[in-house]
Amino acid sequence: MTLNRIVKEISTLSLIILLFSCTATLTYMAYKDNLRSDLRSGNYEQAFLQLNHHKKEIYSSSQDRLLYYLDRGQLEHYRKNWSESNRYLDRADHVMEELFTKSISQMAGSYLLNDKVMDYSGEVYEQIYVNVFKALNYNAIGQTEDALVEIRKVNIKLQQLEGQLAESFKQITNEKKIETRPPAPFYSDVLAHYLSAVFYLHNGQTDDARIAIEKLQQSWQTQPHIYKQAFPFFIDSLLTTGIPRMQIVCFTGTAPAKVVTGGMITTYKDYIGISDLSMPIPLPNIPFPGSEPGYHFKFELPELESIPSQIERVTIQTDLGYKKDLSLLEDMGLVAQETFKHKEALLYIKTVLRAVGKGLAAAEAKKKLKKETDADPILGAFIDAAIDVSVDATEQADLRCWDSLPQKCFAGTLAPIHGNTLSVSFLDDNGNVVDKQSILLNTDSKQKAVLEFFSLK
Amino acid sequence: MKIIVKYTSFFLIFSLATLLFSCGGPSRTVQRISDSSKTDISGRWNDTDARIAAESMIHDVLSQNWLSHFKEQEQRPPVIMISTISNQTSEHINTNVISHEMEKELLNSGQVRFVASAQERKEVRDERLDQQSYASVESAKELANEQAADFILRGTLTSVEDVFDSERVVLYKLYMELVDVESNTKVWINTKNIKKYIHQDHYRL
Repeated sequence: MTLNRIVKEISTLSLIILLFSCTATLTYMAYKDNLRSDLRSGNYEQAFLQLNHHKKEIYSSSQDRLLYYLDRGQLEHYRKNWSESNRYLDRADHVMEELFTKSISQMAGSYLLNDKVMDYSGEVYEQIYVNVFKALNYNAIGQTEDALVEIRKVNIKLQQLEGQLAESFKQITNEKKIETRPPAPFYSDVLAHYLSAVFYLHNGQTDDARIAIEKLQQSWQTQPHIYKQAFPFFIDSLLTTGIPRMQIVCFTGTAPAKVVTGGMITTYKDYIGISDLSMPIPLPNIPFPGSEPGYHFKFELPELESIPSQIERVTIQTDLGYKKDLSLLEDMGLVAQETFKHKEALLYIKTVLRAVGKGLAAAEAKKKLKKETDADPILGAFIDAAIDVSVDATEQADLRCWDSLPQKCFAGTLAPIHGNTLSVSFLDDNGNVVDKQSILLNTDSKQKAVLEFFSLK
Repeated sequence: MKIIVKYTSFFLIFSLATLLFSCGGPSRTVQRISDSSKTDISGRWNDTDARIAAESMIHDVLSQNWLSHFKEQEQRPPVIMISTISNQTSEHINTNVISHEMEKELLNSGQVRFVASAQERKEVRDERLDQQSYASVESAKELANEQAADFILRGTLTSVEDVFDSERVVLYKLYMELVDVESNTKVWINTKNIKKYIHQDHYRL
C-alpha cells in the first residue's frame, strides 16, 4: 500500500511538473513567434491586440512585469503613440532600477529550480535601448532636452553595469574557486553617442556635440568586432557649418531571440566535466568536492540567435531627385549578442552548478527510495524515470527577452533644400523594394532633431 | 554526497521560510507630512533639493550689491524677468519648481518686481488684443504699455554622476545669473551644489 502510494505520488508529481512546464513554455514560445511575425509584416495593431489578449497568460506573474512594459512601450512606439510609449518604457526603466536589488528567496529558488523563478531584470542591451527609444519618443514630441536626459542615462547605466558585472563575476568565481577568464572589456554604444550629438546640435550645444562625436568615433574604433562595417562618412560632416541638415534613422528587422542550448555534465571524483556543449565557451574542469564518478546530467542554457531580416539596404529619395543610401550605424542584434556574452560565463557556471546539485541529489533520492521500497528492477526503473522527468522538467533555460526590439539601425542626413517630400525604400539583397514609406517635409518634420522610420520585415 | 544533500535541504528550507514571510501581500499606508520635511526615497532630485537650491539663491541674490546700486541709481525696485533654467542633468527635472519658488520669495520680499516670462507674455498679449475688439473702451487695457524688464534671471542645472556597482555619487550644480538687459552685463552669479551618496542593496528577502 505504502509502496503503491509513493510510486503514485512521484508519478503524479512528475507528470504535473512536466505538463505544466511544457505547456507554459510552448504557449510563451508560440506567442513570441506570433508577435514577431506580426511585427515583421508591419501589422503593429495586430501585435498590440496579441499583447493585450495574452496579457494575463504571458505576463501575469510579477516576475515578467518588465517584459510587459518593454513590449507595450515598444509597440506604442511603432503605433506612434509617443507619450504612451514613454509611459510604459519609463515604468520598465524604473523596474530595471528596482531589480538591481535581487531577492534572496528568488535567488535560492533559481539555484534549486531555474532562472525563470527570478524577476526578469533585463539584459545589458535592453537596459541601453530602453533609454534610446525613450529619447526617440521625446524627439518625436519635440522635447529635445528630455531626449538628452535619456541619452545621458545610457552612459551612466553602462558604467554601473560594468561594475555590477565585474563584482558578480568576482563573487561567484572566488566562492567556488573557479579559474576562468574575466569578462571582456565592456561596451560603449554608438547609436546613443550619435543621438546625443544630434540632440546637442539641435539645442545649439556644438561643443557637447563635438565631444559626443569623438566618443562615437572612439567606440567605433575600439569595438571592431561589433562595428564591422565602414565608418559612416556623414558623421564627420555633422559639425560642419553651412546648410542645416535633417538626421534620418531607420530601424529594420527584429532583435535576436533567446533559444535553448545546453550540454552534458559528467561527474568524476571531486570534479565535473562538460561535453556536447553547442556554444563556444571556454570549458574549465570545475572542482566539485563530494561528487562521485559516473553520473551524467543534462543542462539547458539560453543563447541569443539572430533572426534573418529581408532588408539589407535602406535608401532615401526626395521629389527633387536627391537619392542616397543610408549607412548601417548599429547592428543592434550584434550588440545584443556581444553584450550577452559578458553574462554567458556567469550563467554557464551557475547553470552547471545547479544541474550537478540537482542531479546528485536526485541520484541519492533514487537510491534511498529504491532501498526503502525494496523495489524490483522494473519498479526501480520506473522510479528512476519518474525522478529524472521531475528533475529535467525543472531544468529549463530562461528564454525571456524583449522581443519587439528591432535588429538594425541605419542613418544618414538630408538637407531641407533637397526636396519637399521624402521617400524611404527598404531593399533586400537583390535590390528589390520590400517596403516604402513617404512623408511630407513640412515645417514640423524639418524642426525635429531626428526623423525616424521603421520596417521590421 | 551528504554535503550536497545538506546544502539542497538548507536551500529548500530557506526558500520555504522566505516564501512564508512574503505571503503577507503588499500593503500601503499613507500619512500627511509637512511640506518642509526632508524626504529622500529614490535618491533622485526631489522637492527638498529644489527648495534648498532656491532658498540659497534667494538669500544670495537679495544680499548682493547689485540691488542697492540699482535702487540708488534708479530710485525704484528693479524689474526682473525669469527665463528658463535649462536641465542638463541625467534626470527629468521640472526646473519650473525652482524658478517659481524663487519668483515667489523674491516678489514677497518687496525688493524687486517681476514681469511675465516670454511664454506667459504671449498669452497676456493675446488677451490684450482680444480686449481691443470685445471689451468696453473704458475697461480695455492699452497696447504698447508693458513694463520692460531691467534684468533677466536665468540658469542651468547640471549633474555629474559617478557610479560603480551598488554605489552612486551625484553632484547637482545649479548655476544662476542675472543679466542686465540693456548692457548685457552680468550683475550677479551664484552656484549651489548638492551632493548625494546613494547606496542600493544588492539583496533583499
